[in-house]
Amino acid sequence: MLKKITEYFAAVLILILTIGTSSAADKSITIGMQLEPPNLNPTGGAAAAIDEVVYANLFEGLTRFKSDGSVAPALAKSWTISANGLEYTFNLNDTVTFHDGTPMTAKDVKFSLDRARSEDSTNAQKALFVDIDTVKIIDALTVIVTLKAPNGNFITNMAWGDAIIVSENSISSLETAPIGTGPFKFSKWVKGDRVELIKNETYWGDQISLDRAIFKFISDPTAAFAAVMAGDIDAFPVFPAPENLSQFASDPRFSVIVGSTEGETILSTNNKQPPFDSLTMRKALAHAINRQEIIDGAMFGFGTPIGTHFAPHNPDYINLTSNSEYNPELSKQLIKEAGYDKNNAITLKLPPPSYARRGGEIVASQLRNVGLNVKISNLEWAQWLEQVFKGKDYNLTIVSHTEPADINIYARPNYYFQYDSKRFQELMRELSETTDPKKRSEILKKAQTMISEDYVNGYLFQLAKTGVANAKINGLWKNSPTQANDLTGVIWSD
Amino acid sequence: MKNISLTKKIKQFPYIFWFGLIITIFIFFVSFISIIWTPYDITVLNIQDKLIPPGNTLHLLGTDHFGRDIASMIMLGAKTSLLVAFTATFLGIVLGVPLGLVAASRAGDPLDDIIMRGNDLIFAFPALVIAILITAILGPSITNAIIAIGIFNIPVFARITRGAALSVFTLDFILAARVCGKNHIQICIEHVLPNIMSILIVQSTIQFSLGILAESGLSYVGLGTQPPMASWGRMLADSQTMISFAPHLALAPGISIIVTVLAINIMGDGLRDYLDPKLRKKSA
Repeated sequence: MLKKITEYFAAVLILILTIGTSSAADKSITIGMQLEPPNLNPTGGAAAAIDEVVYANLFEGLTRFKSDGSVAPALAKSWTISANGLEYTFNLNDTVTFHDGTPMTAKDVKFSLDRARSEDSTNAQKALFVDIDTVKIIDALTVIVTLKAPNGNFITNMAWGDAIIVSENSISSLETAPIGTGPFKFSKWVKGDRVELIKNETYWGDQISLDRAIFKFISDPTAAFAAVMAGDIDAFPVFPAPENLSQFASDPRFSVIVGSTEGETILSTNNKQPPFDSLTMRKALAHAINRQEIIDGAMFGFGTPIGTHFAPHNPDYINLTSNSEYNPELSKQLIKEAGYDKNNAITLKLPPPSYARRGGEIVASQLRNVGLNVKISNLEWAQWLEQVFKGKDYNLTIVSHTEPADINIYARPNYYFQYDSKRFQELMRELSETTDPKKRSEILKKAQTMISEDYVNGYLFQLAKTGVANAKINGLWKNSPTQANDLTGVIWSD
Repeated sequence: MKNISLTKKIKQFPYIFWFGLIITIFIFFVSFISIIWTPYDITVLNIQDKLIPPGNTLHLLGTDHFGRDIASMIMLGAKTSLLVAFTATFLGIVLGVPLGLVAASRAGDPLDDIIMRGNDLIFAFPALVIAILITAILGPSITNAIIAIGIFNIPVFARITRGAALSVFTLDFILAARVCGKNHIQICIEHVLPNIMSILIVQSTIQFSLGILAESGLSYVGLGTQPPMASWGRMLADSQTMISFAPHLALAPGISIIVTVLAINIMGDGLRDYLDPKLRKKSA
């Protein structure tokens, strides 16, 4: 009897081992993501999760971001810019077809750009297209885009996920069954669970190594941990619980990929609501915060302190953390000067991610330490968008701004932190009209200094990209120069 | 003589009752102490002392990911749990018992129907789901958690009061009281209520322990107690992702919840055994 049982177990064991080895040769990948996209149309919504599924995999634009943040040609193989900086002539690749078999031509480029900047467009980044005056078709593979004013950022703007090229024929199904030009085709979407993509055999560019890509959505960090440990998920590019990374790092089956993101995590401050409508109070706020403690406590050490709204890996970044050094004594003195009344409770409204919830508790403790009366309320994303982002009914909140090079949001007086500075708005106008890289860099540095010295928001840290992947996977992006999970270069090693 | 009757009385309670009572008293004691003193101030975070394992001389139960003392948090969490459960049970008694008495004294009337069908309406919803709904609408806070849990205690007490009161109302002494000229309210307070007290006390202990579970549950999903107030449920939720390398974070609040609920339940059980004459005769 005992022998039979051992034989049985041996058989099961062998079976498990063979299954294990055969799956390694499989050319599919399962990517874990915390949030499910609301739809799959990157030209219609702001949700980062949309681009994280479709960017570079399903859809392509005229240009594209590469993993190091530089801009490379994509559907446009080359372009020329006229001497006055107004006319961009794009030469398109000639073998590009959409997933439905129709060829991609200049007509589609004109349609996509006109659609994105039209009156009724719901594009989340309409500012990218605002400078376009006309889009003219020269022949099937040549387009001339004329700008109203010179814009040094135009080629970069065209690389954004919001500027991808779509076909007029498939516009109605963009949200649920998207058709693009990328190396992957849409296969199916099981709502609440996963999106599946399969290889596009007729892709115009370099052939990819994967046959299938599955994006699985797991919002609970504990479940995410279990899924990665069990091998159900091959890679989790932004793992939601940084405290588990050391465990993955000590396990030879996994590699931990820590990189940088464009996510400036800030203590957003309502500049139009007392008490933080006063510069002295905002300055006091900045000096009350101990960044290192927040990074250690909320992110388990992953993150880079920042002193302004700019990514530290950007060449134009200047370190301004000294403007808001941790100095509780100075902070207390400033609060006294501003005449803050302790009976005025300050609301700190926190969205669900752990950097916000944990960071919020630490920030609240630090602010209480200097005598501010802080009340935390935890909100779900929908409530946060309604109350904080749209309603502007808050004093403080913590959120990560993951869009690349987004310092221009400070030029919008109606943006949720309501910073209204004519000088800054003027500076941003100057920036968009400047094409000279040296001068642009100067303006960007000036802009960083300005918001840092106006203490618009509390600048906490640059969110690290804390990913975990099967050790046999190569070619995942280490950093996140844009919201994307580009799988075109992913290879399984043996 | 008096001494003998006291020991006799004590013997009449099952020993398990005393076991539950002692633990319950201890938990109440700890939570009262936490009002005036805890080993550490948990609103002050010491990140550099984070995740100290239990058994440390300075931190008996260790510290959490913010460097807060777990023992202090457990003490304050006990206070929160007992406060919410007590207030919610109290709310249920204050509103539910009078409703049940009215319904019983007007048995068969439309008023009785209205009250009891209203109760059925609340019963028709799963308790925790509706509590989540209420706190989601009113906003998460400890007061709203009490309201949400308390609302569910009302029909429980109303129904049990009505059932017990109905059987008392059929007895002859009620008729006698009525003949004496006492009105409904007097009869209910002077004659019915004392006779159903034992049932209500036992039910209170059950609702009390359910209240502790409900508070933990609401705080676990983030709708109950808000930081920086300590709550066992939130401690559990926070510890989830760290369970593999810092199990003490989950064990401390988890064991606290189990022990408290168990202690109150077995105390209630013992109380029922003592107060219910039918059960007492059998065991005697």
